[in-house]
Amino acid sequence: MRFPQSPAVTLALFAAVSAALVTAVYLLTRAPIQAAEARWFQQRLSAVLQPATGLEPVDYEDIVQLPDRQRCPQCWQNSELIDPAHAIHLNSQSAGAPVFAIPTFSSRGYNGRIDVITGVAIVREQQSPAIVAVQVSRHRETPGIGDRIEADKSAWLENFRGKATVNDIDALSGATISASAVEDAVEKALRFARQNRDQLMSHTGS
Amino acid sequence: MTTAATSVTQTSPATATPEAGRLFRQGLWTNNAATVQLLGLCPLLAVSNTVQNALGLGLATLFVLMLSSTLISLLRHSIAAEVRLPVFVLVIASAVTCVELLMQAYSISLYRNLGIFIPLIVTNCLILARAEAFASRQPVPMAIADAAAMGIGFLLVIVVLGGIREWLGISLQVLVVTLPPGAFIVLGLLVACVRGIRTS
Repeated sequence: MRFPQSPAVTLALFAAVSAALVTAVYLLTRAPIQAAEARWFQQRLSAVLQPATGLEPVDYEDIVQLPDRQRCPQCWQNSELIDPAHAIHLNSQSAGAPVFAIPTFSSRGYNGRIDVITGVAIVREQQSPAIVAVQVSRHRETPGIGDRIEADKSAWLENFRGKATVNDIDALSGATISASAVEDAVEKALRFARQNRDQLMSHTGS
Repeated sequence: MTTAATSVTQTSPATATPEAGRLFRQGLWTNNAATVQLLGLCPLLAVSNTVQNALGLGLATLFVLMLSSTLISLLRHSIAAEVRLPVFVLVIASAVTCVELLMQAYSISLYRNLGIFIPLIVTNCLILARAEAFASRQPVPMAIADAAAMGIGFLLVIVVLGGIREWLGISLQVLVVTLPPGAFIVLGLLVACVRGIRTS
């Protein structure tokens, strides 16, 4: 078939058809993408709440979702520290102390926002909360360089384990900005845990 | 590239099989996209640090190349010569966007690993070159065969490069090989080897 129209009309037709095609694929994949993203986040959450079993799915009998910023704006002090897109989760059955998974983010990444989940254990006798595990749930850092902040790419995130502050974490050579953005997000989670210590502990039921 | 495109004109079913064989010989060896035409080097060098990433990007590129070549060959009589390049870019960009959405929906860890290099398939000159030099002048079966041959040729080179870099860089700890300069050096050696074999 040959269109008798001018080239401009041909181009406009192609643009319209392309837009329609992309829209159709977008609509068809919207639900699967949401499901896949949720599964991806769930896996990182599991790795934080059950660091021993890694990326195995969490047993949801033990997991409590704490009131989030939308449902209860006055529940938390300085709630702007946490990521409003995700809730705080609690695994009160974990060995030792209850572990809170606190979602935060930093806008200081090399390529925009970095989302981090920090697992924080609060021990009754100890004054400051300690980091159990850290997972990066979303980022757009440079492949091969900045993406070593991911647990799958390097062991750097292991450095946070057991620390009560991010001050003595070594930066990643070649990815200083990505690394300090993750530290920034973890620091927010620690600050949030310190300031809401009593409110958090009131959910553990002990 | 242009000689390959113009020498294949009207193809009858009887000569289709030898023609396809010739296309595959060109795509895989004598006119390989990566080692002879040196096209699409940006993703080739950037994503070939591991075999898994290389395979993922190679397959995505192959798929986009076949989809865009088929569509462009199918519509080649409807595309006015004046606007053919914008139309090619539109078709390629739409195909890439669809691949990106599908990959995010059904293979999210690969999507996370490849990151920015999926949208960057649009700028892979290999795809536009095949659209302009071949698919827009040839019947659909030949365009599909050419896209498959060129895409598989690219896939093979990127996977071999990924294998060498993963083995040298990660198993043998030659760190420079995992970094961009190492990619250039390994590709240079690979192209030199291929040239040496071809000319001898």
